[in-house]
Amino acid sequence: MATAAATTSGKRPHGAGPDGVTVTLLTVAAFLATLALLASQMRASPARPAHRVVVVRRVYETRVVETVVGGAGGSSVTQSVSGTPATALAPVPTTRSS
Amino acid sequence: MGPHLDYTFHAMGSEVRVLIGPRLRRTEPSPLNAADRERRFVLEFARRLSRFEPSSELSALNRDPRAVVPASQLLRAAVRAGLWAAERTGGLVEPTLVRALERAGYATSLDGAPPASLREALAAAPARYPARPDPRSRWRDVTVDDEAGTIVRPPGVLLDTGGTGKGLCADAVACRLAGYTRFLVDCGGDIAVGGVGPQLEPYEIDVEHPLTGEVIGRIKLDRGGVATSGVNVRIWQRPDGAYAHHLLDPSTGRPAWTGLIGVTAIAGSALEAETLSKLARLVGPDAARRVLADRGGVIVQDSGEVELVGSLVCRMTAPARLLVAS
Repeated sequence: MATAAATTSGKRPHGAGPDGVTVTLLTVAAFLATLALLASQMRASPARPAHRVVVVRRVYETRVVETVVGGAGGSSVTQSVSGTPATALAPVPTTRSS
Repeated sequence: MGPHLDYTFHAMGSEVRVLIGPRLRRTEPSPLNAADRERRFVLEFARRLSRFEPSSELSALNRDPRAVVPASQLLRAAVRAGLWAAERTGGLVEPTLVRALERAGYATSLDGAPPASLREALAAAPARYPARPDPRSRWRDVTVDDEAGTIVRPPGVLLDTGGTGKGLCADAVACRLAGYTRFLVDCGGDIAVGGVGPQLEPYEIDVEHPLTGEVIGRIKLDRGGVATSGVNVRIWQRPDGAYAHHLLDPSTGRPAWTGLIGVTAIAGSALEAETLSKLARLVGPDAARRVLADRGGVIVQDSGEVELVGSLVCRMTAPARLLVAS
C-alpha cells in the first residue's frame, strides 16, 4: 500500500533524469548565453555596413590584328580594335602624297 | 576621345584607314562590322573605277565606241567628281589626260613599285614654271546624265577618275558612317572627318614632309577634309633616263615641275581638299598661297622649305624653314 501511495503522489522515481523545471531553466540559460555572445559580437563591429568586395573589370585595350596576304585583289587587312583613344594606341593619321 | 575602332587595309595602291567612334543608334552595326562593310565598299570602288583593270567599268567606258554610254551610279559620280574638279580649277585638274599619262610612263599600276629618288629627279628636272590648262581639252565635252543613267562624251576621249578618286572615296565612306559619333576616313592621305565628336575634340592629323618623310606639322580638324598632293610617291625614271611623275601640266601633257614638291590643303570635303592641293601644286608657289589662303594649308618647295599658309591651326613639329641637305 505504501508503494502505491508513493506512486500516486506524483513524485518521480530516483534516476529518471532532470525534471521539467531544470530542463526549462537550462534551455533558457543556453538561449541567454547565445544571445549574450551575439550581442558581444555586434558590439565589437558597431553598425558598419557589411563589407562587400566589388570587382570592376574594364577592358582598356582589345587589339585584333588580322592579316590576309594574297587575298582578293592582293590586299592585306590589319584591324586594330581599341577601347582607349585611338591616338593613344595607334599613330596619328597622316596626310601624305599617294 | 572615348572608344574608337582603328581599322587599316590596303586598297587603291595605298593604305586606307578608318577610325570609328561609338554608334549613335543601336540599330547601326557595331563599328567593327561597319568598318568591314566599308572595306568591302572601298575595294569595290577601286575595282570598278580602276583604269588599270580591263574588266572595270571605267575601262569599259573608255573602250565603248558610242558617244552615249550607260553608266552605273558609281561611275557617274566618279566622272562627275572629275568634271567638278576641272571646273573648280579652270581645267588644271582634269580627267581626260589618260593618253598623256600613258605617254609619261604611267600606263600600269605603280602599286608596290618603289618610287624613284625625288632628289635626283629634282636635280635633273627642267626649269620650273606654273602649269597651265589646255584650251583644247575635251573635258568640257563630257556630261553626266543622271536621269538617263548615261555618260556622254566624244568617242575616243578617255577618262581617268584617279585624280579625284581617293578624295571622293573618303567622302563617300564618311557619308556612310553618319550614324556614328565620330569618324575619320583616310584614303592614302586624303582624309575626311565627320560626326559630332570632332567638333568638341578635333582629330589631330600629321603632315608628312615629301622629301624626308618626317612629320612637319600637326593639324587639328573638326570637320571636312584635308589632302596632300606631292610628287614623291608616284615618280619613276623612264627608259630614256628622264624622271616623270603623275601630276601633269595639261598644256604640255608632261609632268609639271612648278617649284613645289608637296602641298597640303584643308577644305570642306576630302574631294575639295584633294582638288585644291593639286591645284596649288600645279600653279606654283606664288599662286599656291592664294589658293590656300581661305582655309589654310602647307606648301613645301623644291628646296624642302616648309611654309604655313592662311589661318591654319597647325603646330609645327619641325623647323618651319626646313632646308634639305644636298
